[in-house]
Parts: sequence; structure tokens; C-alpha cells
Amino acid sequence: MEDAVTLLAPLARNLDILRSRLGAPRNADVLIRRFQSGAFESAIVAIDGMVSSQLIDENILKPCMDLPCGAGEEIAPQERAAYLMKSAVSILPMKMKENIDEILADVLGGQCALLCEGCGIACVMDTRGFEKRTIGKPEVEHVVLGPHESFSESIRTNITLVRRIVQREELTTEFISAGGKMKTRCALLYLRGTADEKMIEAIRARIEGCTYDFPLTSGEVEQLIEQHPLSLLPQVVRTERPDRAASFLAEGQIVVLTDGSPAALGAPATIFHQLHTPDDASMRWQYGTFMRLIRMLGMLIHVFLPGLYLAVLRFHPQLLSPMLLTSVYESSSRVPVPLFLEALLMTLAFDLINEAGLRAPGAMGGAVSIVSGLILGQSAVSADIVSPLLLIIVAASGLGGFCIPGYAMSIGLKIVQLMFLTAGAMGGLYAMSLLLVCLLCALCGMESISSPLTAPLAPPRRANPDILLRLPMRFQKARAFFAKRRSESSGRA
Amino acid sequence: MLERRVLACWRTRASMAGLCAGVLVFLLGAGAAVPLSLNAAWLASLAALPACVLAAWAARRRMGVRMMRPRALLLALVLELGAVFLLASLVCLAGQSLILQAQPVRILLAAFAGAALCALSGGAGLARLCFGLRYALPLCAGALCAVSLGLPRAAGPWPLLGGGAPRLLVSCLCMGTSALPALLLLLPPPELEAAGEDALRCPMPGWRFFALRMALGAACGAILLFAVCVCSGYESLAAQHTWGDRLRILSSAQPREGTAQTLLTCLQVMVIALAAGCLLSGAEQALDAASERLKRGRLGLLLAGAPVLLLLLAMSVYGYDAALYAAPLLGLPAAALLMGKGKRA
Repeated sequence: MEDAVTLLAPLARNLDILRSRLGAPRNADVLIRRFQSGAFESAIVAIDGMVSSQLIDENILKPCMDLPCGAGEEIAPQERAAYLMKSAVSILPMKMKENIDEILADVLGGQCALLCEGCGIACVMDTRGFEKRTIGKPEVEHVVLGPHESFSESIRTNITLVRRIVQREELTTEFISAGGKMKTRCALLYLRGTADEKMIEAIRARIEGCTYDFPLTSGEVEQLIEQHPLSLLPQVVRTERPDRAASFLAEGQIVVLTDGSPAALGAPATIFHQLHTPDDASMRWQYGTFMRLIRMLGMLIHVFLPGLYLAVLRFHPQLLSPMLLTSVYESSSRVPVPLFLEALLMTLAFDLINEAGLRAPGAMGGAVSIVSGLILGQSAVSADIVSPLLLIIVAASGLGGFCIPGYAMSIGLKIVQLMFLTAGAMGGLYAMSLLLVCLLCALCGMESISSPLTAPLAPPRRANPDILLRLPMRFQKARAFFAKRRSESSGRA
Repeated sequence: MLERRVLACWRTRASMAGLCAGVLVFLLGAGAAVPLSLNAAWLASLAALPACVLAAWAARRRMGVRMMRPRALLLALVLELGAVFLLASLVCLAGQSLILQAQPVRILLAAFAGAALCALSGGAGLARLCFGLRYALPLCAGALCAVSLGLPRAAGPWPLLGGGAPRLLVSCLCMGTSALPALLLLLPPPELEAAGEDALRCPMPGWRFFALRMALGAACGAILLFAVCVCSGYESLAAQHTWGDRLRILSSAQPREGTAQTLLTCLQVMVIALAAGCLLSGAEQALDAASERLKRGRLGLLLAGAPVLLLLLAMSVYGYDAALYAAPLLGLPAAALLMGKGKRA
């Protein structure tokens, strides 16, 4: 019975198949309601809690049951579902389907299927009514100016949020089911004629090629899309803000939304996308540029400062003034652990505080910061467990880390910071220089959906003057280099 | 669109050759020309400019020509030896400046690891980085050299013709080897190979395009050498007998005054490692051209890197000056590879 691929004519047999596949009646969530609709019998199949009962009662059950006894007698059995759609049911989003797997996937996703006696076609209607979170404020991408809306877990709501901003006929939404037995609904959003078809095809193929049997989050979809799984830096830009997702679309990027994840992924992306924030565009260009430079400075301090400290103290003390050097050596001489270990432990302690503050329940977050600040800061210095200058270095470096806009990027750079710390301790500025050039080479060699991660700077590509600096609005006319050119999208040579 | 992308690929490739040429000009100048011509070595380095232009012209003539296996193997060998020279100079420089207390073998292994990791990222990444640094590097080097001109020890902007005209002529001949990176232009950019036949069939830029970039790179090297000649002073330059000493642009024993020198040395280390990575990656590509089977599992890089490491280890025992004496001779096989007409692919 379970081998049937399409619906059969007898209603009872179809319901038996669906019952068997869904495990009813043991599975208490399965709702199967048989009722008389005019001259023939019909049934509704849905999952309790996923559908809106009110919507089904008022728009499907009541109108169908109100049909006169002989209504639809003259209709051919195969046309009965279509007849009910035409004369009774008043729900707009609907599809006619006969494949049992597709019908089941829709029913499990919160839609309901209407089946009729003698008809091998079911009508699947969007009656989703499950509980969902309301639109809230962004948790990670805070802005001072600009909109304060963020995505929620419902993919439909997220698409609506984007559509409200991008009111263009070219905006296209494609739904893709990713995964093996347990499907996750993903949506590809792009502007027809702006986004590159080859890139759309590449992303679609990578998501469809996934066969994992567990629900996918946007982080897992990101890993499906990316080209360099061993890289420390993200190759797709992630946002929880609809306005930023809309700007990705306008640039020619493809936005991927995942059901159940309050984030959108923009691909292809460049490394410069990871350094931009929505605030840059909300402010005048001078302010945006200045803030961007501050963030970059913070990023450099975060990555290099602890390593530089170790390198200078261990290998290049001539770079410091004798007074400062004496003071540092004096305080370091009282610390019982080697300099490298001291710096490593302090850096890890900072990450520990950061993680604890993040994971602690809201009310305790502040307490964690105060306690750890007091214990690991003041007390550690007065007990001669760490030197005061190192504490300043680690704090300044941590502060720089908070300037990095993307959370994923900041974690990647934390690992890079530890690499530079080790290099600085082992080989001073020599090892740090070699490591830097290796990492830069690796970065320049990376690609995101076949588009270089360091473009448009290297290799050269046409671009808006909004890369490291942000120039005035009047210069910002071009689409991103990975998008189609205007002449191509309008069909001109 | 495709033509623009192809042009961008060639721009990055030409920048790579230009950067390597600049590095070689500086290293050969400081290594071979300074002992011969002392403060006039920078004058000899100017001879590298026409050599680079000539090499770029010759390389452009041979672009798109099918490379036979013996030629590809010779190309790989020359590029490997070039990488050995660069890494030997890197070890000398670092050992004399940045990391005085470390064992030379450790410095060597770190330098080789750095260059090999750079090459591992692929020719595309290296070329893009060289292109990305095309303004930043000359600016940094220029700024730091400007700082050096303010030092009281500077010999003045117009150093004398140290060793006389015959020695200067020999130095000029040595500098001809700086055009060796033009060999990288004989190999198509890896992005174009990956993009397929259409990209490879797109028109390539003319010889002036490559010549300009190589000459600009060489000019940067000459300016750095000028800084060495100016800042070191005639007497101190004559007293500097080791190669590593001569590679240092600013010499200062004063506390904190060495900051600019340290930064400049870091910059030198990065650029030399990058150039060594470029030559190593070029050698890998040449080996891949010689045999398709080497492409699997990056065997080409392994085969290119192993002799380089062995040679460097041997030099660490017998002295790195061997690389310095042999380097000017690399110009001969390079010239042989660049000359002659071949069969179009």
C-alpha cells in the first residue's frame, strides 16, 4: 500500500495510504475529517496545531457541507476537487496535486489536503496557522539609525518583510526543499535580470544536493553553499535585517531564507560585505566612512595587538622605551607563568567571559561581567597573576573584536588572533609577517560562488565606491561585479 | 564581460611578474651589485628596467605557444632555483635583523613553510595579492625610505661611483637576471585555465601592457636599493660584508629609532616570501604543464618544493652565498626559454 506514488480514485483507499504513512491513529496530531459535500463524500487531511482550525471551519468545511444534497452529481469524479474549489472553498493559495509524497510534505508543512471520492487529485490549501514569534528588533546587528525590524523564524513572514521593501516585478521567490527524509524549506530570492543565472543555478544545485536527514538551519545551509569548508572566514554574508537583505538583492546577490531561522544569507559575498554595517548607509557618507575606518582599526587591533605585544617583548625590545621596558619586565618578573602562557590564558579568559555573558540568562549577564571583571582583572593584577600591561592589551584587543560587524567573522578572527599570538611568541615579527602573507594569499585565493572574495580590489572588477571607504551617493550607480550588467539585463548588446 | 575578466586575470599576472622583478632587482642589487659598485649599485639596478621590458616583449611573443615537456621542465627548474635564491636571501635578512637569537635552520624552515603555504593557495590567490598590493607596497616603502633620508647618517642623495665603471658594467650584467619573472608570463593564469577554452581564446594584451608593469616593479626595487645606498653611507656599506647586512635598508642601534627599520624589514620579509611563493607556484604550474598527472593532489607543488627545501638545507650547512653567486647565472636559461618561436597551441 505504501508503494503507491499517486492518489487513486477510491477515497477510503487514499485515506488509508495517508493514515499509514502518517502513523494515524496512533499519531494523535493527524486530523482526518470525512464529510458529505453535495452528492459525494470528501475528506480533509491536516496536522493539528499546524493549521488554523478557524480557517478550515469557515472556508472549507462549512461551505462544502452547506452544498445541497445533489450538488455536483453531474460532475465527472475526476473533476470533483476542482468543482469544490470553484463552487465552495474560499481559500486563495491552493494547488492541485496527485503525488502522495508532495501532498504529505505540504500537509506536514502546515497546509491541508482536500480529497474527494472517485477523484485522484487532491487540493492542497495554505491554511497554516501555527504559532510564531512576532517581528522583533535585531539581536546581533544593532543600529543607531535606520530600521529596527528583524527576520523571524517564519519563512513566509521573512519573504513578506523583504517584499515590502523591494517592490519590484523582477523579485522572484523560488522554494526549494533541502534534505533527505526530513525536508527543510528554503527560499531563493533574487531579482530577475540582475542576479546571474549561473550563480542561481549553482546555489540551487548545492541546496538540492543535500541529503541530510535532519532539519537544516541557516548555518547549515551556509555550509552547503560555501566553496571552502576549511576556511576560517565566512564566504556568505548573513543578516537578520530585511533592509540589508533588500540591499543584497539590489546589488545582484541571491538571498537564501531558511524556514525556522531568523537570518538571511546573501551570496555571492566579498570580504568587504563582512565589514559593512547597515548604519554606514543610514548616515552621511563622511560619517559612514569614518565609522568604517574605526571598525577596521578595531579589527586590526583585535587581530594583531596581543601577538605584537609578545613579539616586541620577546624578540624586539629595542622598539620600546627603556622606562616602559623596565616597568614591563619588572611586573612580568613577578608573574609565575611564562609570557606566552600568560597572554594565551588571558585571551582565552576574555573569550570565556564573553561566552559566559552571552549564554547567561538575561538577568545574570550583567553580574557575570562584573564578577569576571573584578576577579580576572583587578584581583589577578594585585595577586601578581597577570601583568597590568597585558590586561590592557587583552582588553583593548577584545574591545576591537566587538567592532567587527559579523558575529561569524568575529569568531573567525578570534582564531586568527590566536594564530598571530602563537606566531609572535615563537618567531616574533618574522613569524607574524610570514603568517600574515600566507593568510592574505589564502584569502585572495578564496571564492564565493565562483566570485573572488577579495574582488573588486583584487582582481579588479567594476564596483560602487563603497568598498573600504564609502564615497558620496552620486558616485554609487553601478551594480556589484557579480550581477548582470544593465545592458545585458535589458537585452542590449 | 569575458574579455574584461580575461584582461583582469592578465593584469594580476603581470603584477605578479612585476612584484617578483622588483624583489629580484633589490636582492641582486644588494647581494651582488653593492659589493662590486658600493653606493653606485642603484645605478646598476637601472639596467634591470630595459632588461624587464625586453623580457616582457619576448614573453609576449611566446604566450599561447604550446610548451613541450623538456621546455616545461627547464622552466620549472629555473623558477625553483629563483625561489631558492629568494628564500636564501630571506633567511639571511631575517637572521641579521628580525630574529637574531633563533637557529638558522628554524628561520629557514619557517621561510620555506611560508612560501610553500603561499604557493598552496594557488597562483590565482598570489597574483591577486600582488595586484592588491600594487599601490600599498611602493607607498609604504617610499614613506619608510623618506624617513631614512632624514637620518643623520645618510650619505647624501647622490652617492659616488664607488668601484668605477668596469665594476658597474659587471653589476649591470648581473642585474639582467632580474627579468627572470617574465617566465611567469609564459604560463596562463590558473583562472583562465579553469574558465575553459573560451577564456583562453580571448585576445591577450599587447607587450607594452606587460612591459610597463614589469618595469614599474623593477623601478620600485631600484628605489629601495637607492635607499640602501643612500642611507648606509660609503664607509659603512664597504664594511658590511654579509649579504643579510646589505639587505637592511636602515641601520640604527638607537632604542626606538629602529621602529621604522623593523617595519621596513617586516615589509621586506613579506614581499620576499610572497615572491618566493609566486616562483614556487609558477614551478608547480610548469610541472603540471609537463605532466597532467601531477595536477592530482597537488603533486606538482610537492615535486617543486622538495628540491627547493633540500637545496636550502644544503646551503644552511655550506653557506647561503652560493645562491648569491649562482643567481646571476639564472639569466642564461631564462633567456633561452624566452627566445625563439614555437608552435601555436
